[in-house]
Amino acid sequence: MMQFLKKRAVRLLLLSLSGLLIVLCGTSSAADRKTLTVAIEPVYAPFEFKAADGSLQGFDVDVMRAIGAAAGFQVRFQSIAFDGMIPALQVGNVDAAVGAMTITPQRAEAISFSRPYFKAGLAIATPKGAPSLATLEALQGKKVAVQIGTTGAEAVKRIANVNVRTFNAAVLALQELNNGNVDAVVSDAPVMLYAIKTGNLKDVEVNSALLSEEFYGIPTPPNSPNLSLINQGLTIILENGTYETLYRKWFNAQPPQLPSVAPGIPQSSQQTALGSGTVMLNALPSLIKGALVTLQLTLLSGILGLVGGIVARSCPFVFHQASPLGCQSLH
Amino acid sequence: MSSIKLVRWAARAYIDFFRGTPLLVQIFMVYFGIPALVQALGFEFAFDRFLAAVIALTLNCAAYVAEIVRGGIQSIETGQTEAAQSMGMTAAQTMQFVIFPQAFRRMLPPLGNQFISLLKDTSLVAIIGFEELFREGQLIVAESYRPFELYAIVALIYLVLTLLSSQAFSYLEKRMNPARSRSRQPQIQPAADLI
Repeated sequence: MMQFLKKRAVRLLLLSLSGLLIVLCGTSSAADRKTLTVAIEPVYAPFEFKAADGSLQGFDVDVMRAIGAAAGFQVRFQSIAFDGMIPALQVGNVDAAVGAMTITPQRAEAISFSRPYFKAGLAIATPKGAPSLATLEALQGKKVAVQIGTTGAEAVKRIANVNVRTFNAAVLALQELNNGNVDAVVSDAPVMLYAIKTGNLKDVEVNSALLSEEFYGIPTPPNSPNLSLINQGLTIILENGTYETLYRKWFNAQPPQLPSVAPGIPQSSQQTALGSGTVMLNALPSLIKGALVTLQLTLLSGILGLVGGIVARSCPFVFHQASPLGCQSLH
Repeated sequence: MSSIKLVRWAARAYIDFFRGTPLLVQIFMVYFGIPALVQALGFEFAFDRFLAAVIALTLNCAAYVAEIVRGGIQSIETGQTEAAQSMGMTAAQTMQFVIFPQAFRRMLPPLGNQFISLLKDTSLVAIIGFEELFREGQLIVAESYRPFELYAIVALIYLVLTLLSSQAFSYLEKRMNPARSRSRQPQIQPAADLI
């Protein structure tokens, strides 16, 4: 009996060891080609979204895969919220990101951008039939929805006397407009046009006047060694016509000329970052204001919930002179 | 008897639904679902975000409180009910003067827990863009790209708030304990001598 058990144990050990070996071999052969982890938030059609079968698609997805094919690396997409992309890049959790991200001086201080791969602009969406709002100044005194951390959110901050609501996704901001809770949405024109074209938002229209000229870039961690690889791949697909094919596929138009460097962005990122203490001190007033709102929300919901809970339990008791619990002894 | 059954069934369904589904989904249902529903019926309707947040949190909290109340009342021995009834009290009087006051004291610790959960759960309404503590932090991070420092402060502020509320609840528990308040005098005396 003992002999038998021993034999089994040895066999089991051998089996698991060989299994481990197979797994190790498998990973090492896959690691031959370099794999870059790329952050993506697939809620931004037509740049990145999920098809009905759950696969990733969109212009950004195709461009990133084409760059990988041209520069000789594999792309592994990882889902990260748009406003979490820059923090994730800063600490190196991901190697790059695609998210229709506009190259801005402020972002370029925190991370490094590739050369521009798309020309876009902000536009204003309003409900159909409402007086058209063509400029940012026209939004004074209005309620405006934007997506957190976007250039649209940055733009409305410059308007005096405007009521801004910030959402985690552009589709939520547009839904808010469709529901009639806000007067306008400021966001990237191609995304809003696509959302309206695909028919999810019937009561919304986009003003054709673009508020700005923006260039999208692929961000990487500061001074990442992969940046030159991505730029190299991007240059190849821009020159060999792959980019044009993809642009026609998604936007059904001739691609505009792209500069090799986004205008107005300092090339070398000079570190003008504020110290931690300053950042914390500057944040404190808004945070304390937020804490008071949280407390107010908790107290109000807590008291109403307490009353509601007791009422929900004693309803049968009020309706009938019986225990709220169906306690038999009270019947 | 049929009406009481209906009410009891409704209460059960309400509690099961709000305890059994994620608060995040409930917030979305209230804020985005209700206006879409009302508009589909042909009414003009715009939702105030504070109101939507309070409604979602209250509905959720009430379901949990209902269960706490049930637990508290059930924990009181049937002997208490029998004694009260033998003194000629009606069911309502029994509940009001005998069962509930005792049960409430036992409900306090779980109610304190619930309050602290609620305090932390308010951070979920950030998803509808309501600017409470967590959202304010998120908005600052979206601009300054300093997640570690800012979320650390946010966490610290939540910690201060929850610690303060647990202190408040334990004070309340002590105050509502009749045995403790009666024996307070002799207990303090020796302690004062030691100092």
